[in-house]
Amino acid sequence: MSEVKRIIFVDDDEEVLDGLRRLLHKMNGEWEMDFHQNGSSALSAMDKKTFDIIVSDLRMADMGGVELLEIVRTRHPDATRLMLSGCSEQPMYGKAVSCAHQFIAKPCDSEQLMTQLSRSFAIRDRIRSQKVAKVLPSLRSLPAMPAAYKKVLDMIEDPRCTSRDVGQVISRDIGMSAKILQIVNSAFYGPSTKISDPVRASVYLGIKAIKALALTDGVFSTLPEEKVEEFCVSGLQEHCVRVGALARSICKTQKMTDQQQETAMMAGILHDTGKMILISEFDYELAEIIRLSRVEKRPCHEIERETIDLTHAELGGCLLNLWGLGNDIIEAATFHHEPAECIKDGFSIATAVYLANAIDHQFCSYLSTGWSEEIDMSILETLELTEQLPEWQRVLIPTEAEEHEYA
Amino acid sequence: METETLTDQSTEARRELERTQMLQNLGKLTAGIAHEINTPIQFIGDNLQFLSNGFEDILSLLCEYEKFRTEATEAAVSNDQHERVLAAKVKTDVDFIAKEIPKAIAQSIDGIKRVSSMISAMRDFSHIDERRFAPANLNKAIESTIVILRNEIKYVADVETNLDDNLPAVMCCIDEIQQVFLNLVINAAHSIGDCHEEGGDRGLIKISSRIEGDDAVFTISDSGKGISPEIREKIFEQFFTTKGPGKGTGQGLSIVQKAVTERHNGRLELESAEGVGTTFTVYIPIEGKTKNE
Repeated sequence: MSEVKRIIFVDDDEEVLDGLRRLLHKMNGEWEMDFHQNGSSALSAMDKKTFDIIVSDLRMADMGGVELLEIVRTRHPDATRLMLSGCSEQPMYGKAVSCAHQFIAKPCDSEQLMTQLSRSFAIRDRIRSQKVAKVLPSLRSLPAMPAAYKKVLDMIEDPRCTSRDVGQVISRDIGMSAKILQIVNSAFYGPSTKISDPVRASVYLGIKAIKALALTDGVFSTLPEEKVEEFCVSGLQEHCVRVGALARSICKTQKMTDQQQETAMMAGILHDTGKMILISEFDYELAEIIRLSRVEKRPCHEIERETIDLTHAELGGCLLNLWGLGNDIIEAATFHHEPAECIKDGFSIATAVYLANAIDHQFCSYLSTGWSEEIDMSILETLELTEQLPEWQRVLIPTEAEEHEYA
Repeated sequence: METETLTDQSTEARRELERTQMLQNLGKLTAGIAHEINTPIQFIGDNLQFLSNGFEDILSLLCEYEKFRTEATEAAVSNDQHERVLAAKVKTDVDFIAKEIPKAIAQSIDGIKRVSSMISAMRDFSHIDERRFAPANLNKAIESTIVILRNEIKYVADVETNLDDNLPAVMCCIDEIQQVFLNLVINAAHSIGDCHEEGGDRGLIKISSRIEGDDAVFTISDSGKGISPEIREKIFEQFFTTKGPGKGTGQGLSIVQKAVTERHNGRLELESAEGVGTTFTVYIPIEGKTKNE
């Protein structure tokens, strides 16, 4: 990563650039900023210097924002791509969604812009691993399970299916859930509060928008069948859905609000986002990590830190952060193997996800998992929750009917 | 009697359809209008924030100067005091602020004008259902049309206007004439846009007004792809469209023709060459329709 933090702004309106340049002048000591009125001049500047963040307008004469950011994605995959746009035309959404990490709607106030830029730099600082830094920002989507994606495609053609039905399918898939939450929480659609439930997200977007998105190249993608089999991805997905349900139950016993329970559910489902990235982008390394974990009886995340300098938990947290999901979800994913971090501020959604994940690993294991750690009882003692544990464990013990299904 | 009722009903139904189409047209423009307002608001906001910060910095620098001045009158100034004032000046970045403040103010004022002109153009389009004949300034109607369509046009073409200042108020139904201009200019922009998409250069839309005999005459010409002779006969038919599904309703030109010839007793002329462009000329009697009145 370059030592000076560099941002490049592209907008065809000179007055907008002037306004930004003046506004951000006070950051001159910390940030180096370039301003360009068209895509080609920005691209040639990027060829000469490394930029950490590109902020582009959407509609521009000659080269539009989507085209520009797509070129940047391939030529400079490690740059963070933001779109600052006053445009609200629906046909552009899908394409824009697949090339930008986040959208900022024009007009945005200076504080919002500064927060977004600082946050983007902070995420970049967390991606210590050079190897990951080259791959993570270039990811357009998180691969979905082929079967789930196919089901969504079938459903959107079926006039009897509602957006709620489609949302339910999406909500059981890590890749599609993460993407739809990125989309619905972007400034394009701009709900004032973060939505953390794919079903609500689907209802909010409506079936027409979902259809347009699902058919836009790059919004959703699928894993090749060989990988699904090699890493037993369906087992991983089931694990995530169980962790989501258990995290929600745990939050319920702790009298958290309905909205927090909903967020906990999603945080649980997305906690292993990083594993999906490893499966899709670092499969060779992952196979070796799992092998070592079993042989040496050490948890995967320890070995990940040694081999790729970043654990799957941190990796997932970084992507979800890059995509602008809510803080609770990001924290839960990032710290689900660091119990001390999960109880820093007392009981939280991250605590619930840590516990749910640890309990699930205790009771259920799927084929391609590595060696798992025991639950850290000290954190339950700190929170005075030790007595609750058996009750939570019971949630996972399958009923007779379910046992039949598993067999 | 019965035939009359039926005619009334069908006229009413046709008007209803025209109204719907008009609203649909305006609805499609709202995204572009929002964009045209959002952009100036963005830089006006940024400039104001900069001016506010800069003002604060300059005020505190002024305080330092004032302190320095009182100290200087009381006793000889020490090196320390001098250094302190100098540091304050460097921190404030006076040069940058002094250079940027006038531009920030000028651009913001310009931005406010952009927003105001858009809002006043929107106001011109909001009386879309009055449907009565009254004297109207049609040059202004053209200018409003261009403002409203700025976002549809600016990525593909430049607009050149040549409006006759002596054009008198024209007796017409302004909402219908506004709709005529809107449809013709949208078509011009789309025709150039199609060329542009196929890799063509940026185009030009020329709009002019003049007086010719008893008529007010308006020409709207584009450097777009032109209309082929085979379809020239059909373009005024209702529901005829060359635009892709979901893009055009095939009613734009049919409404234009009806409004000009039937409602205003005017004339509509078309000149077009493939690959060169199209010119529509609209003749409206200045005194209003004389026939059937």
